[in-house]
Amino acid sequence: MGPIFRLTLKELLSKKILLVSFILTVIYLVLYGTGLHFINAKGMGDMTEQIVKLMAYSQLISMGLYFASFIVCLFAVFAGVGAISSEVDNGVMISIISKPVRRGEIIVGKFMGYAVMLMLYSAFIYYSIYFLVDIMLDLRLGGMVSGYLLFTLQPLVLLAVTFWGTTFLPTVANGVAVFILYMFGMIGGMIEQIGYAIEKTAAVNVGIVSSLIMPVDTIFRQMINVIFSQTPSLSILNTMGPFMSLKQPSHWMMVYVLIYVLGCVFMATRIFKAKEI
Amino acid sequence: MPAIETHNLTKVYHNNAGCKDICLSVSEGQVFGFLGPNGAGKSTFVKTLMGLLYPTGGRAFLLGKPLGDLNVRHRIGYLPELFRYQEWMTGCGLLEFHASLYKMSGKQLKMQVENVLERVGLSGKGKYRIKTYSKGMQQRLGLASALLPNPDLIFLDEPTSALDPVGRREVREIIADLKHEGKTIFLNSHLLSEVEMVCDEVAIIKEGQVVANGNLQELLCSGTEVTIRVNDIREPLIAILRKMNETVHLEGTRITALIDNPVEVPPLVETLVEGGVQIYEVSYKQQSLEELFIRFMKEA
Repeated sequence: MGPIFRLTLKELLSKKILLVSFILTVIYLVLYGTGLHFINAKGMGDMTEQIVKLMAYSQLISMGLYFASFIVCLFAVFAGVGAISSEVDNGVMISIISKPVRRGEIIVGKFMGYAVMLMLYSAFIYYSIYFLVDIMLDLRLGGMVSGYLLFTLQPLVLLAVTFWGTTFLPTVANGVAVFILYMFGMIGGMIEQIGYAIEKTAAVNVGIVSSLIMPVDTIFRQMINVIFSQTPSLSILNTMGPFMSLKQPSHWMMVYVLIYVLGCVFMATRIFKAKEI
Repeated sequence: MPAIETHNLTKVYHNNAGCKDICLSVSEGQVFGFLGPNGAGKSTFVKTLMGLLYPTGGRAFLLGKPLGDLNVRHRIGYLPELFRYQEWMTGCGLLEFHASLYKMSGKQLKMQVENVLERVGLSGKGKYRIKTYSKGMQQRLGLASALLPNPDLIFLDEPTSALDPVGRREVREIIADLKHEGKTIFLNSHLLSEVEMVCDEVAIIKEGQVVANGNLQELLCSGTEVTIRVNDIREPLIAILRKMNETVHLEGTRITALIDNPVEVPPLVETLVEGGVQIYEVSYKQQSLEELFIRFMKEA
């Protein structure tokens, strides 16, 4: 598994997708930081203005993290979409499988390689936003570690699903399927939040079902809860706006997510073991 | 212990193509040729032995171990027909990666990579990216990868398809060296002239089934053509000759026949002499592998 893991890291570093993603991420962070700079309302006077300022900050921070999550999740999909299928199609996999290496080791080694790269990329984005907020808004956010762990769990979930798909779907079909699934989870999450706001159980249930199928949105809501609850000035504002969470997800949901990730990797391993090349 | 042993090994696809009931035994130290037309099942057979495909019937053993044994692959090298490698890697980088899959490491790994690159004629080219390699160079790289573990058994699937005549000769020399070292080589090839030059035994496959199998020289002798040039001969005498050997054929004053053994010739000559025919010449022509191959394709 070690050689496969190391090769995967080297391959990702050599690919243009990483460079392009990094450049576009920097552009995003520059724009976001610029926005934060001009929104900064230092020296606002009375209590009402302070509350308005904090409400604006909370929306900006949650929005920034939402689109940062979107970026890193898309990277997970596009990077991993052909991890197995493209190498099977172009014949590269033949020379690997015929060696004394278990097929399961190939899947796990590649997944670990992609996962490490995603975690590093997630760390770059997350802590850039974290420190931009600190510098531009003079606001030290909570959840420095716990928030990051939840932030990076999102692309790992998508990576796991993508890996499952790449063992039996062609590359493009896998990308389309995972992307649609991701959108499904996002929209379901928004419906769930609206359901909580207007107290409609059916809408809430739709969201719950969608989060069981694709839990990325739930992880995001949990992350926002954790960050805001650990930021004293923002702790009462974590239920306001489209990117917030009206109800904190259960801790058992996080256990489910971990089982979900492991389950997808396990299924990928099972399918690949039986696959004829 | 045979290096390769198959008992009714079968791999059939949904459209009934593939290989069926293949029974082969390849002794250690042999160069074994596996021949067949396009779509006969040659690559399917090799891929089944290498674990890329799963058999639908039968059994097989490689170096005494059943199919699927992972440890025995440390002693097996494989050059696939479709040789594709990560283009972003250098030649050395690829071989180091493959060597690490064989659990090689450190100095041994680096030395062996240099050795195999030199052996296949890519010395000095290992530092360049594979995407700059020609097809022939990539095939040589594949051969180098197959030789990395110093294997006891090597599968070569069309090993010279992308090489020029000089390259083909070099590969033949490598095969001869490997045989001299006691390695067993299983060679899939369309190039019958090459198989004829290097192989000890061959099997011919058609539509998934083996139609001929044995020592190459014995198979070639089995179809030796004898030509007898005479002055004149009548049909009744030809009919007598045909009762002795049904392949007797008359073209003007030349009588030809296929024989399995030279001892079949004197009775034919005696019959002609007793029939009053004057004999000017008796000559032999051993069939080539191509003629043998075509004969089996027509017969089967």
